[in-house]
This record gives sequence, structure tokens and C-alpha cells, in this order.
Amino acid sequence: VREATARLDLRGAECPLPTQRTVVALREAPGRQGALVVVTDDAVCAADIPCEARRLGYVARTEVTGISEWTITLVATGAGGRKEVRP
Amino acid sequence: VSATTILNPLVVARRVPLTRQNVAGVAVLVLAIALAAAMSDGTLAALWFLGMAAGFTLQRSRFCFASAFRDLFLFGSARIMKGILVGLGVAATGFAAIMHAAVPFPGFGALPPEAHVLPVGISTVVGGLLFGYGMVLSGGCVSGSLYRAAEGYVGSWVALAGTVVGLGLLSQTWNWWWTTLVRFEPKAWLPASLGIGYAGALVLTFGALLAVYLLVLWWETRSGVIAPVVASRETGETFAERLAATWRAVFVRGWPAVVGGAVLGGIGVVMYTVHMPWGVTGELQRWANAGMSAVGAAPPVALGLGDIGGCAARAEEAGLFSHTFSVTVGLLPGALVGALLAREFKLRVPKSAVRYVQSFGGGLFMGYGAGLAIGCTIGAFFSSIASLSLSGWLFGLALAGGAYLGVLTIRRIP
Repeated sequence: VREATARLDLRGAECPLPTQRTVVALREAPGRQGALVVVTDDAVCAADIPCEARRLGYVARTEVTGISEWTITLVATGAGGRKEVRP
Repeated sequence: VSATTILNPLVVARRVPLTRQNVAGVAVLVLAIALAAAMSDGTLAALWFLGMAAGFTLQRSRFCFASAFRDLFLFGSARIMKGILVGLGVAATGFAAIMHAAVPFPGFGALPPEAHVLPVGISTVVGGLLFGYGMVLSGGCVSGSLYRAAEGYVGSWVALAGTVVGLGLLSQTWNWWWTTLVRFEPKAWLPASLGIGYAGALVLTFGALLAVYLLVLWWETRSGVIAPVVASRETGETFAERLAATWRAVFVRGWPAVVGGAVLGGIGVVMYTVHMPWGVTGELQRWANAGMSAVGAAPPVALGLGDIGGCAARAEEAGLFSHTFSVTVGLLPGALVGALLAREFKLRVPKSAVRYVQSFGGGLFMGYGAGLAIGCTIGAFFSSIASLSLSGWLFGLALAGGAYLGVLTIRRIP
């Protein structure tokens, strides 16, 4: 059964909150089938989120969707994470 | 391709299209230069430009001292910490040369003028713990909050307001700390205190930096950190394409943290050459003291502070344009220019009321801790280690402890 795409709008939030929230969302839904779409306007988190997601077994696609705004689509690889993290 | 075409600025412009943010960035730069021209003292103008350069560097490399400590515990990442270590190596080498010129024989008892050799003791630890905890809670240290405030982060404005209030509280209680604790605490300047001279102190400092590097590298490996994917370096065939690629590398794409750290170390050395090491707390303390005086609650005359050194001890400077004004307020236009040229300026308003309380509360801790330790991550840590002072290392250790406690707290904040 394919889960619906979930969306996290974290615009306005400052580093590290967007990364923290994303990791919590990924950890709360292990083996997620649908994509998690994260929107952030924090440049540091836009770079950090794909790295943290990869550790949990997700691939990331980042698009610039506005002035200082990034939309990151995270999809599970099915390979599992490299290392558990506790944000 | 003819030479005319290659040098035509329109060709470059098409490859780097100008936006309203870019035009605003140039306007801010022009205004900042005009303000420097209005300063009667050339030293202050030079420091203003150095403050701007520091702000620009912080923004371009997203160089946040708070995240350097916090991310070790939150994500296991040492990306910014490695940049700090590189910056400390650059700054310590430059500072040693400057201090050697001023005090060739460190064993004779004199400390180099203006060096950030601060008292070492319980006040350093308490100040570092409070500052480390506060910077994680608020989301950035003083310099980080300043550059982010210029990028449009409203939470950083609130954090800075909390910092000013915290510094005000410290001003009201400083004399108790002085008479109870600080006046008994010694200064430990490595070249003299250990009798090892400048060369020995530099070897010791570089050895400690290497040890910390190995420690954080092991920590990252143990945590399984994955490094960010670095975009391939842009190139071009024509002069215009290469010029556009250079423009984007400097003004559009973020710099690696180690580059930011090295540049900040160099700026710190030049600042010390011009006048004194970099520090950003003294100006905020001036604002706190002026604000309290304006409402009839002026703090008592600070005992002993004039003899200590460090940027917080310069809070007594008079007039709008001062040393601390130049190197602190100068960060704002520098970071703003960086953000505008990169099209990264944006008003970011936290949606949750909790964030405002968090930012202000964190700022309070930071302000009080910075006042007590006579500086923040810049004055009491970066410039202090570069001054070959033991206080910087102890403050850094306490910062790490405070950051750990801060991470435990922010993990529980909804």
C-alpha cells in the first residue's frame, strides 16, 4: 500500500529546528513508503537535511522554489539507515 | 569571440542576472562606505570595514560558533568546528607575531597590550556554561545572531534583545562577582606562565588544535556523519564565463566552513594590527548600560574591569562611533550585503510563540555569561586562544558543556 506524500512546511524556522523536525518525522515513520516533502528557508538546514536523511536511509532531491527557499523531497531507499541519530 | 564581446559587462550581466536584492546590496555597500567616510578617525573607519568583512565572511560561510558546539551533540557533526580550528591556527600565528613585536621577552612580566588574556577560574567556567547553554537555546551566539539578524531572521533580533538585557543584569551585579571571585582569579598567558616563550606556546597551541581535530574527527566517524554533497566547481571557456563563475563562487554559493574560518582568522589578525583583537560583546554592553542610564537605573561603576582587557571591558567607550561600534555594528551591513548579493535576504518570522520565548531566554543566558566571562565566542574564545591565553581554552571547554546541556533542553522543546 503506497502512503500519501507528507509535507512539512518549516519556513520561518531557524537552524537547527527544520533539520530536527525532519529527522523526528523520518524516525516516527520508519519504512515510510510515500515521500516526505520539506520546505525550508534556512540555507544551513537545506544543506543538512539531505545528509541527515541519508543516514536514515532516504534519498533527497532539493529544488530551489523561491528566494532563499528550498523544497526537499525525501524518499526511502529501502536499504535502511547507516546510523541512528537522536536529534 | 572578439575581445570586445569577452569584456562586455553585459555578457557577464546576462550570466549573473541582477535582481532587486543585488541592487539593494550595492546600495547598502555604498551607504556603509559613506558612513565610514563620515568617521573622523581613520582607525575607526578601518575597523568598520574589517567588521563588514567579518560579517560578510560569516554570512557567506554560514559560520555559526553556536552550531560548531551544538552540532557535535545534536547531529555528531564537526563541520563548523573544523573551520574554527583552522581559523584559530591562522589567528594564533598572526597574534604571536604582533605580540612578539610588542613584548619581545614574555618572561619579564608584561602582557601584550590589548591581548585577550583574561582571568582563569570559576567565573570563566560559569560564564562559559551560561553562554554555551544560551547560544544553543536561542539558536546562535552573538556574532551568529548578528549576521542572521541582517539576513532577516526575526528570532535573532529577539535573541540579541535578550542578550542586551542579560548584559544589563550582569552590569548591575558585576561588582559582586568581582569582589567575590574574579579579583582572585589569575591570568595565564602561555608564553610567560609556562616559561616556554612564543615558539613553545605556538607549538602547544597547534598541538592542542591537532588533538581537538583528531577528537572531533573520531566523534564524527563514530556518529556516522555524512558530509554534504559539494557541487562541482563551475568553470567556463570564455573570460566572461569564468568571471561569472568566480562571481558565483564568492558572492552566490556558500563558502566551505574551513575557508570561512581561515578568512575570519586573517581578519582577526588585521584587526589586532589596526588596534585590538576582535570582540562583539562590548558594544552590546554599552547599549545595555546606556539604556539603563536612560531610565534612571544606571549600573554602578564596574570594579576592576578596566584592568582586565577584552572587548567587554571597553563598554565605557564614549560617543556613537567607537572601536566596539565599528567591529560589532559593522557586521550588520557586511552580512546584509552578502545576503543581498546572494539573493538570500528574507524576513523569516517564527510561527510559534515558543520560539520567541526561547530566543529571548537564550539571549538572557548568553548576555549574562558573556558579561561574566568578559566576552563571547569571539572575544573570550576565538581571540583569547589566539592571544595564547589559557582562558580561551577553559571558556571553550565550558562552552561545550553548556552546549551539551542546551541540546538536552532543545530536544525537549516542542
